[in-house]
Amino acid sequence: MTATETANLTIIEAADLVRKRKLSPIELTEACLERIAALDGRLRAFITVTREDALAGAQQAAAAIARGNYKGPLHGIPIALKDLFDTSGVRTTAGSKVLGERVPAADATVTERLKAAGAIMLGKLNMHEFAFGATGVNHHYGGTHNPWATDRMSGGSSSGSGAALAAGMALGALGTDTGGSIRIPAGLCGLVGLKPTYGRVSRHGVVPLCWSLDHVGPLARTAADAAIILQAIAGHDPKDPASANEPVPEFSAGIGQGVRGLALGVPREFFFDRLDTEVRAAMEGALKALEGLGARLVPVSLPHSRHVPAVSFGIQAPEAFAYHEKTLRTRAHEYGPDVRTRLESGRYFPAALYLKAQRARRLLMEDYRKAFGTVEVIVTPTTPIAAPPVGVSTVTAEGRTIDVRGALTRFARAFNATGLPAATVPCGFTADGLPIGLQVAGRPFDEAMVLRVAHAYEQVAGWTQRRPPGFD
Amino acid sequence: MQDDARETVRRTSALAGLSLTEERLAALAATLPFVQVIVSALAAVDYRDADPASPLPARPRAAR
Repeated sequence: MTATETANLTIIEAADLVRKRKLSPIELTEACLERIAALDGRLRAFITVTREDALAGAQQAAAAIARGNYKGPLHGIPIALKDLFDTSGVRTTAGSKVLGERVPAADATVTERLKAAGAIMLGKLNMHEFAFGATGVNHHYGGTHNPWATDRMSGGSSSGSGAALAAGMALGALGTDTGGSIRIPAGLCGLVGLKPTYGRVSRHGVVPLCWSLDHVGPLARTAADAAIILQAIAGHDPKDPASANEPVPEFSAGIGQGVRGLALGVPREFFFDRLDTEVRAAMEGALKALEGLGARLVPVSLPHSRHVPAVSFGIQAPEAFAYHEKTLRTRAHEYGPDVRTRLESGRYFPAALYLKAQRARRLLMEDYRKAFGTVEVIVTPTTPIAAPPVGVSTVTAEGRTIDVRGALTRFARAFNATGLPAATVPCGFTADGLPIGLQVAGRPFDEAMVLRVAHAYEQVAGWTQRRPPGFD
Repeated sequence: MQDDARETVRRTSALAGLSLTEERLAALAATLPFVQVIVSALAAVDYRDADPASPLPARPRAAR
């Protein structure tokens, strides 16, 4: 196998070879490092590459496996982390100059759990500064580019996570998601991205953006790979006050059960408005394919969906400002101009507005509680548009000019406000070769069902086998 | 409107003990219309079902 073929394996494929000792973790890690060295100048997916640590980890993994101490499907698998996750002894910048020299003394809980599962840490991934943006622009470390077309946005805020994985520089990645920041880059880069249920994965040691909307989750090439990463990081953590003490199921166990007889909710409102024509066509194709697999499409009503943007911004801006207020007083000039103004605007949100947003959030939750009384999952587009050109602030969809940031986050935010699990899976490509994502959302703590539907669709659609031209 | 927004930002910032440069005043005043959109959107929400334990009497529902 060439380095390109090796680094483009799925976790399932690579783990099988590693377990059978047909592929060494050293060879696998070297293949990823070779790709990073060759390609990252064009993509800017990484802020820090931990080459020596990765090779040392790979050697340890190889030795342990040779001794018969195989830990499981992440053992010896090279993974990269958004630079928001604390890594002991490795600087963690949150994509900002403000934390540019910060070297944490301890790992985040999820870092610790991935290491315990035997994963190899390749480095820290680029991101929108402090995770406050959906485009992947970064004024300090350079903007991330989309491997499917390098003049296009990778999406954000987990921009490096999307680009690195799509370009075959890692086999899996972690991101965070406050308003779509896992699902947007995964969708725009042709990947699977899963935002688990609020409380499912610990946020201890993760630089916060907005406490009541922040989630941690995997980006992967397939739903089955996402299930493997989620398995390693899920579970109660007393160090995160929002962590849920819920049982953790075997996420891969029922993933192949198919969708025959399942009821898939298709929202009547909001989620199919102002779609790009090619996104609409891809969605219609995906729904038809799922129906063809034996699922029932059931229209569902989510009448408060139109309030989602106001609820999200009404909560996010004041919470983010509360976290940054002290630093903004003394080091405001060190923030990028877009993120600085966005954060400072949180000062002008009245407390009553924040409380109204929280009350409206309850109405949204009630909509979803009712809908999930009749369906197993809800399916929507991930974003109304494919990856926009780098640098634009507006795009056109169905003849209307729309704001890029608002468009990218529009369909993702509902699942941050409700805390429900939601994944994106590739559901087609535009004529220009840009990926389009299908969003699958589920009941609280039912990530297994979300992954099952995503996996069933993947098997029939085959989109996840494509790799970006020039990076394949 | 532009002057009002700047004045709102200036006064609110002063309450927080901050004195802003003209450049920051202008940048932040430009964000106020967005805050106003959120204020208007959340003012339009019917909150009757948001809090079943609300001590406020429910308004009669309008005919649909």
